[in-house]
Amino acid sequence: MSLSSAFSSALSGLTASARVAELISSNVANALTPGYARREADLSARSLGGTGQGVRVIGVQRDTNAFLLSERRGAQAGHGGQETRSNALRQIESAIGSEESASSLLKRIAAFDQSLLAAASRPESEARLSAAVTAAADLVSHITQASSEVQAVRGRADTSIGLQVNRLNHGLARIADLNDRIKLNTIGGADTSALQDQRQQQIDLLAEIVPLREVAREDGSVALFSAGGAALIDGRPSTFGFTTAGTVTEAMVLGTGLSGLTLNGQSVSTTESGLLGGGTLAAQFALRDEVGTEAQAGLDALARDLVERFQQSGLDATRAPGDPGLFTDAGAAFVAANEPGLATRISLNAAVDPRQGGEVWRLRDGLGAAASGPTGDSRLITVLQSALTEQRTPASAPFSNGMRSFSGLASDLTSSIARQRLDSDETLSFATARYSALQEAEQERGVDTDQEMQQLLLVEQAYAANARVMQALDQMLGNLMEI
Amino acid sequence: MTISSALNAGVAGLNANANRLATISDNIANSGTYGYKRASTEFEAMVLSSSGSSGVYTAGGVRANSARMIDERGGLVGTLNALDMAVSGRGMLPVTDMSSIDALMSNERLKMTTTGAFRMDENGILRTASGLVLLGWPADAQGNIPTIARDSVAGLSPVVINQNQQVGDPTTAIKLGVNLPATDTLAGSPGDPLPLSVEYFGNLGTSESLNMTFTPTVNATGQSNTWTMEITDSASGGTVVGEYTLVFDDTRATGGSLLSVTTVAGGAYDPLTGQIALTVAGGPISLEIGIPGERNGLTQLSDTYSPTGITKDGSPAGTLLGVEINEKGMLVAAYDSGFTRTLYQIPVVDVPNINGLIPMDNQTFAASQQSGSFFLWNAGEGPTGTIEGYAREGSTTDVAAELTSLIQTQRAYSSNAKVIQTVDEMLQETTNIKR
Repeated sequence: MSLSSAFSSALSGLTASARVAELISSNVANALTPGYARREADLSARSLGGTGQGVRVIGVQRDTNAFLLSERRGAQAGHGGQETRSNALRQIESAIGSEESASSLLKRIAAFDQSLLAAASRPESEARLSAAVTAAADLVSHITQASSEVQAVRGRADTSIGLQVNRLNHGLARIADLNDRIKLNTIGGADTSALQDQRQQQIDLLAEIVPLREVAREDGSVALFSAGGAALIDGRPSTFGFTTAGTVTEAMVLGTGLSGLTLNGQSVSTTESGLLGGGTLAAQFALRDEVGTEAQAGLDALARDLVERFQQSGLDATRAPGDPGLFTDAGAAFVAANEPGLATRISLNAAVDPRQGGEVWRLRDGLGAAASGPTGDSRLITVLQSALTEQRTPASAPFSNGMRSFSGLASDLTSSIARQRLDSDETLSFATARYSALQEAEQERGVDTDQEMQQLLLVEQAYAANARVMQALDQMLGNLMEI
Repeated sequence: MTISSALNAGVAGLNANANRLATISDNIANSGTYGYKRASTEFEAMVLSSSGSSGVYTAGGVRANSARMIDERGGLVGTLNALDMAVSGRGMLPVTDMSSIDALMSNERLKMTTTGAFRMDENGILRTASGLVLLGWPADAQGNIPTIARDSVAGLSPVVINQNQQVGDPTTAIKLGVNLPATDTLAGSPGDPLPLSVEYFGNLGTSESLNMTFTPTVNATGQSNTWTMEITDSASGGTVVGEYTLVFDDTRATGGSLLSVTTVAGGAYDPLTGQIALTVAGGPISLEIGIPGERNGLTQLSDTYSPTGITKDGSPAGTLLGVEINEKGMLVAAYDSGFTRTLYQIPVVDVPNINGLIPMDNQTFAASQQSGSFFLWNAGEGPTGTIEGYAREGSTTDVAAELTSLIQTQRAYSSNAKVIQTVDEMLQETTNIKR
């Protein structure tokens, strides 16, 4: 009977309007929710056996812009990686001390130089000799502190890699779980938008660690690949393997003492150009294995130059050949093979250091002197002062071209780190600008409440019209009964 | 005597209209019954004296004939249940009684209905609340329907769906769409192997993986465009199941596509189909890597490694999520791991004379001598209509028409009663002649 099919059509209209109103209310309620994608109902005419039977909601569309999303994720990873690098470089720079700061390496060297000059002018003054020894000890502790700070930066990078690998593993497992649930609901014909929102948020959490490429699969699930091409999820989640070292020392490098990264049991490259490059994970690896070791090598070269300046033969006649100079490698004489890690081991010769039972007059009379000599003899102090300032070619690789005074070498080291930091900051400001621009563009595409209200008006009218049809049908049947 | 024939005709008219009233009341009572076919009462005149010339007319009266209009089709009404079925067009669904399901199927036990709301009962039998059991041809394990005689019920069996059973769906084909970075084969590049893990599903529904590595050949000078693909199978304990040397083209016309594939170890590569017949622990899997000279499958372009275009069949073992019927009458089960499989085919029963079917309880019909013998069609083929899920066929009763006919019947009934009353009065007059 056509009246009853008209009833069913009108009812389907009411149901569809109610569903659209539900989606609009959800959109408006989530107007400020980050990661929420506006939903829209897909309506379609319903037909049974070729005849029209009203309307039905065939699905709910999430309004996302895949291009913008993937660009934003890429920018997020780039920004995160650059920020990590800049922060670490700033820490290393402040540990060595920039040229301007009061407690910088250069200031320490200048203080040592001046205290030697002062002691040379009045070699009999215990106070001036003590001041020179204290300045030397300050210089040594500055270098060892900078070195341990560099190792601390590497250690923090190592810990952070461990945490990020954990986050990746857990996040990927959760995304795989959401994939399964979305697949299940898609088969069951249920609305999966909320689950898709959750999945997008989960993916966004990982996007900073590794730049991600999202590829939709036909059953509603997504596959995730890193920008370098490693498959993170395609079906089931990949697992990353990494062992945190705990404490990182200068002797530990990638392969010896420090863990590399494995993907499903196979070891993968951790460099910026590798499969997982571009995000904070690769940046932390770079800090641990490149930036940190380079800074340490610079400090080692500096320490070696300092030790060697005062260990030259002929400088101090009282010192036996093979004995350490004013600065020692943990109390012993320095040999070229031991350069790695010298910056952490460098110490002041115990013979002049009152804190280690030495006597400050040995600065004036020679490290090997048994007893205090003539108090007016300033020759050795003058020699020491000129050893510090003489132009000399450093033996270590990074600085082996060109002659430098010790403060010149320190200044080169400081400015090289400062230049790296400035470069990195500059790149960071580009990355930040790009990231925030894309974030803004993404937010602009969010829920437009004006548009939703306009839609709501239309829905209201459609609902009323359907109800009116029902009322008219009721009257028609009533007329029939009144015959 | 003609006056008494008039009385008889009046009584016949009352009878006939009462009959029609019965069909009208039945129709109106069943105006909301899905699958109900309207009954109609036809009147036929009876003639007793054929000789009008004698001047005497004998009223023959009227005889009522009721019939069910089985070929009339009600409108389809949408519902929310996947297993609400209706035939859109000619033909009916095969069903049988609950009591008949254990006995051997015979033609006598076959009943037909145009629509039904089937639900699974505790034994997984698909039946209606009134106890009608849906019949269908069972599919084999691969989901194919064997060839079955169409003029007997021998192949039909009650549709039983096992709710809680796990079903596997092993992988048999994988297609690789992977771009290898051409720059990695340049002289001086580090030559790191590129890993790729492809998940597949074994015969027992377990998740296994084919682990592939693509290792570039780096020569002292120039660009080799050569890669070694090594495939290991996790199900076989990580043994190498195939190793191939891939050479890529660098010409203008077909640059980046495969030039040649040499089998080092494992299943052979067929350049005509672009497939490798891999033997993994669970049996053969065809791995499609592309035909030489064509740019699908493996390519070697630019400097990015992009293993994003991998497709495969198979799913993990799944439990039943739901059952739907499609318009071809295939009862398709969807499993929670994402695959679907045909379980039964529901044929559409058709007879030469639909109105000759014997109506029975619960809107079912049975074949009879008058209807002719039945034939089981694939839904939508021959004269039959398609099977619609999520739909019921409405009653063919048109309440407006029935009410109109009710008015007519009421008037006709009163007119007949008036005739009887008049005859009575006339007879009274005759009796009153003698005082």
